[in-house]
Amino acid sequence: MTIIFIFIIWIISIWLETSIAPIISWFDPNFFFIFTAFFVLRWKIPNTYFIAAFFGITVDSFTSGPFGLFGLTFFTLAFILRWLSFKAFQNNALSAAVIVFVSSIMMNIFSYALFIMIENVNYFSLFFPETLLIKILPSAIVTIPCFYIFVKLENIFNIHFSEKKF
Amino acid sequence: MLDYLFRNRLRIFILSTFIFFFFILLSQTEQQQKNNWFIKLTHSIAFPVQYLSNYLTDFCTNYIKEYVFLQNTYKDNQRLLNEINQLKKENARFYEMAYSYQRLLKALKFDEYNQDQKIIAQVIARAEEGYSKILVIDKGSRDGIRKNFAVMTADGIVGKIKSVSPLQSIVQTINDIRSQFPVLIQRTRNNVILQGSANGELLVTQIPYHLKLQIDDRIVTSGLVGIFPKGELIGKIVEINKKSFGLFQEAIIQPAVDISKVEELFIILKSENNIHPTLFMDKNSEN
Repeated sequence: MTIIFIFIIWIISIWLETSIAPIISWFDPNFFFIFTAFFVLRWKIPNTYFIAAFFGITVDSFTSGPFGLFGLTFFTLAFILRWLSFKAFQNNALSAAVIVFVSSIMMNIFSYALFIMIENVNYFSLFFPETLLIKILPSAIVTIPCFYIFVKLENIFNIHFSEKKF
Repeated sequence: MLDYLFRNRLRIFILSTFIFFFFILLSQTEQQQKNNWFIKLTHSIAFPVQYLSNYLTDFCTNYIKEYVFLQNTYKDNQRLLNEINQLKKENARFYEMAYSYQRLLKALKFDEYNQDQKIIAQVIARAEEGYSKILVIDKGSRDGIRKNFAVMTADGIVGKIKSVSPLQSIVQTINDIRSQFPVLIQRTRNNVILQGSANGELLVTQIPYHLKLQIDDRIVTSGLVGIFPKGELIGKIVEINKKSFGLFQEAIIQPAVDISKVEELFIILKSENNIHPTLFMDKNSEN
């Protein structure tokens, strides 16, 4: 059931990221990262690192950059998110939105830095401020409705990882 | 050893994943990303989802365009209908100009080969009350028109001036029931009487019984009463009514001029180069 649930969330993420998000060019949330964050924040199990890596390489499949760049980024970010899930996450949509906002900034910085290292790019641009407005803020905003959808689907699929005590 | 590996399996997997990513990224520092099986699989799985989504998006967009924005379509339709009406009016005007041009060109040619002194007039009204068939023209006594002047077109005789006022005149057409005058059968040279009828037909009467008429025999003016110049075409025989006994026979004539459609016509003021000048003519022109 868990595998099916992950697969459905994966399909929903692909649909939202490739078909819905491009409709508005100035409002482009990263649905892959949002759902990755939910897995890590709510489930709090170490296996979510690998789910994050899986979602990361899915992002790589839809980008022209080096394959594995987002895989490594998501995988690395999953450790930080797991730490935040114990320290800051209140198991509600608002705290999830704040964590997604902060971790999105880190994710973009990390992936950008990695990209510069791999591609040997040695110039700075306005890429990051644009990303902040177009991708990171929208990601934080859509986190709230997405969180309720995620919780609803968990209930439908009878998945109770979030109720485990650590 | 196996027990150690099993106990630390998570750490080993995590480390392996990091190593995997480092190696895969390092391998791409010199060459571009190539399609691997995972990308192909992801795209294959994503395709139906994206296709369906695109189909639904198009459907919704079209629905919105077709129904929600129907108000704009209605306005556009109204605007286009107005434009069509305007263009139809313009088209009708251009057609009218073309027809007028043809008519006037014909009149001009007639004026060139017909040497009579004449003026051109426009039909401004027509009255067909019962047996009476008259035309009202826009020229009157001020233009030199007098009673009994001949009225014709390039195709043939139309009628005669019945009454005149300073600015307009009344034309009695040849198919009026009270119109009656002698004409000539062009082929046989017989003088016969042309008269109108109640139903608008043009009849030739008092044709000698023994005369062998033919369909399409042309009827022309005889010049005898001094109204019409001699030799002008009136029409042709389309039907011969010959009874088994009697002194005369009669024939139905198809007028050379379609009187119901005539718009411009000529009023002969004075016949020139005609061996039988008309009795009624413009005295001023004569001098």
